[in-house]
Amino acid sequence: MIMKIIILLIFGWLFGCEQKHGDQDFGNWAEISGRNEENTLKRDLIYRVKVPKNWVQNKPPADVSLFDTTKALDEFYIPENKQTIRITIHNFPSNRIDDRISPESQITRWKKQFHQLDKNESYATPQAFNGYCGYLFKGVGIIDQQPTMILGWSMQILTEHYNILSSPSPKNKQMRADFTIKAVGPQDMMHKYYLEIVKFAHSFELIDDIPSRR
Amino acid sequence: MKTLFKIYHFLGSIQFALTLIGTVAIFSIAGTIIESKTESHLYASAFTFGHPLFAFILWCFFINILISALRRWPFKIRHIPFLITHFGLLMILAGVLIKNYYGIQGVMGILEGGTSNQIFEENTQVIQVESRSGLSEQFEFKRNILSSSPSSFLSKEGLKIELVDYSPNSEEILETWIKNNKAYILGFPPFQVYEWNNEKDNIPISGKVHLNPDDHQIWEIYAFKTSNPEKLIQNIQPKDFPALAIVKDSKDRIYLATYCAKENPHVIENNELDSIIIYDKGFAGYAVQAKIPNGKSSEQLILEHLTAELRKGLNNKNDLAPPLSAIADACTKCNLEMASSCVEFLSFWDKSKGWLYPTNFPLPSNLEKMFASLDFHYFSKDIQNACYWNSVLFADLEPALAEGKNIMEILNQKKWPLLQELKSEKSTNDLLTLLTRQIFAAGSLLPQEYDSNTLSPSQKARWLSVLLRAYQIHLATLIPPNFEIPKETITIESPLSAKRIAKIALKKIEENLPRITLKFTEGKDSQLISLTYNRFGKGLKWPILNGKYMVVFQPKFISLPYKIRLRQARQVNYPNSSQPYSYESDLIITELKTNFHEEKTISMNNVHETWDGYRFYLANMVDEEGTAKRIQLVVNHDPGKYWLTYLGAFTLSLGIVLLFWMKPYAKKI
Repeated sequence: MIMKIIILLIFGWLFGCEQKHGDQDFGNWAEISGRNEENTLKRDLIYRVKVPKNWVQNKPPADVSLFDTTKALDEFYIPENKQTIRITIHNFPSNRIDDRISPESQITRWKKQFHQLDKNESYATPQAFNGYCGYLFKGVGIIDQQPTMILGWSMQILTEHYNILSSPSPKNKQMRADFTIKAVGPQDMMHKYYLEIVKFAHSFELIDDIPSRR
Repeated sequence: MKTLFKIYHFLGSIQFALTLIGTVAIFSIAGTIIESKTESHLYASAFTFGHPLFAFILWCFFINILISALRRWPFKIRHIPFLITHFGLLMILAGVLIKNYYGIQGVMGILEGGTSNQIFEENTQVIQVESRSGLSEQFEFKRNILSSSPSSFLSKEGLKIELVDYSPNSEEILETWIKNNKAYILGFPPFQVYEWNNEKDNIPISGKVHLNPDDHQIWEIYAFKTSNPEKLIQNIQPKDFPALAIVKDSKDRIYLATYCAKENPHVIENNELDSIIIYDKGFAGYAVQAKIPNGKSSEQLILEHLTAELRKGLNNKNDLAPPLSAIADACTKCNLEMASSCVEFLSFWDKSKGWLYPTNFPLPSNLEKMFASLDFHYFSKDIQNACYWNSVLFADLEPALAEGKNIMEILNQKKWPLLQELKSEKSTNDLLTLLTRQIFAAGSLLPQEYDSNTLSPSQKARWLSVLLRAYQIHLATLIPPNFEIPKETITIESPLSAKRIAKIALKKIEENLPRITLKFTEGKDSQLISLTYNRFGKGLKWPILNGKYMVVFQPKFISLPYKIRLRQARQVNYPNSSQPYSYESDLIITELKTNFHEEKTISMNNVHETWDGYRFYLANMVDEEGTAKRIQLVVNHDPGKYWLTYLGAFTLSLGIVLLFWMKPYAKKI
């Protein structure tokens, strides 16, 4: 009897420790290509992001050039009743680190999209994830007479990673590019899907590994 | 035989066991005392747990336990608990010995977004050699208080490495711009460096070079060592401009002072090595760069800016003001560039300080050529009249203006008919402009007392200046008061090298940075180089033998069968507080052999262990760029942990329980 108790205690000690799992069971991975070079339509798969199941993806056709950085790499929609939240992803490749547009400039541009911006509710906070750092902009106000919220991430790859990816190959150029993720929608709907959008943005990462510098 | 028997029994005896236990106790006490005195764990372990004698003691324990069990032969049932206990002990000891020889313990540093499958073993020392062919080899170097490694190695590609000198502690100082008594700018021969201590010392020139390949300016170069760099920089009076002074102070700080015309020198300190140029992946060495003004004076920069703006406006000649059109035509006739010629004339005119261009102010030859080609018949008679009479009137007015006399009084004395209109103008410039325009308005009424066919170039220049005044085209009007002078820079580089100075060894071994001097030989080529230990393996690799190889002295790096990708690291605070509650990292751990990957969040007390016993501990987290983080993972692998150490502990426990609970023993108790 005592032996049984001892054995039970031993097993309890060995297997009783709880393993903490991260909250990483969210959506399915979608792969996103970068931009093509000016003289070709070939696009490499550069990014991946976890997309919730109820979201609708609107990928640009393969025969459309995305060389122009005003064109989105990919779009997602969250439809609900007659309202929609639109999420767009852009990247901004550069040849030199000094040529990059600052995240603050992107945020200034987003602010100007509001016809009336509620400065008390709008802010920008520093962000860092998956090898990028920048800002999250939350803008609340009126666009086209509708109460609208923008959640925008303007992120730059860390300098060390930029230098590691500094070779002039088209793929490396896309990998070291800055990116923005912008979600726009009615305020009440944006509040409802706020956490989902944040998790989506935080899951955005490069497909390929960036080796550590040695 | 008897002796052997005695030895056999002694080896398995309790006396031997007690001797060993006593010895271990002495080692432990010694280790504790040494560590408390030196504050160095490494120092203590070199004399105790890290000493080869300690491994010998472990083997002695193994033999003692084994023989003490074998002495019970032939075994009976009542021996079972005893044997199980001893077997458990042997398994534990075997686990320890296997871990010592085959275990891995190292550190992996990863930046958010980065991936690594390499760990470095702290307190190990290797010379890593990388060749251009991509081959990378590590030669382990052991040299501590009690042992040392071979003094020479041979690489697979035939490179011989010999240890020439060793210093237990050193300091590495990266040098740029000024090394010893020479100043270095990439692309130029070294410049002589002079000492400067006070104002009585001379300030000789170290050289003259074309620093900027895009223009023809010759730069004077000054290079000095001084304890008073600010004073020296103020005292340098270049004979010609532009000039560059490279100054090193007593604390090895570098100052780069650029002198453009007679303006104040532009000084930058170039001490932050946050940006290093790497040539040919390091095989061709390293350099630092600095951006300095391009040697042009503010005036030159302004004129170049104006010229560029004017060139943009030349795309549509129909939009040009008539005086500018006339200049454009004249330039076309004599094959001169319009924008630069026009701006040059405006500059000369501004320097003359005259309201109109003075005819006695000499024109440079190209402008003289331009004005010779300028045809005033391009303009109507009325305009030519106005130009002539403006020229005559201001020939009287300009001397008075230069003396500071009141222009309105002079005009009143001359009984100027349109004086009333001029009274409304507040500034002299506006007044004179209006006066000029008044004459233009009356152009048709004025007599013609000139022959425009016989005008000299300087007279034409004066007449053109009248027209330019009427259109308010003058340097002062084109450059507003708050005009921001464009900044143009050039980039200069200096090779980066390192100076390694031996220092007294510190008692705390961990804080020492050893220095080794190595001789590399390949065929007939050889090179001596000193290297300072690079504690985290993140430093520069130094080229040798004309860039055929690169070498570095650093910890031993081991490749793991797993790669770790860090997604995000974060500090979790207590609610409504900035006190850290936990540190967490989101990782992707990929087994390289099978490509199987799993996503895992680890935290300070929550380790991740793979199926084959690799354990990853989150040891440290530091801030990097912005709010990004860099983490340190301690990676541990004990090959015999489960099947020897843990199983041995279980076996030992079982044996102990049986010892107390089995009937044959219970009775005796």
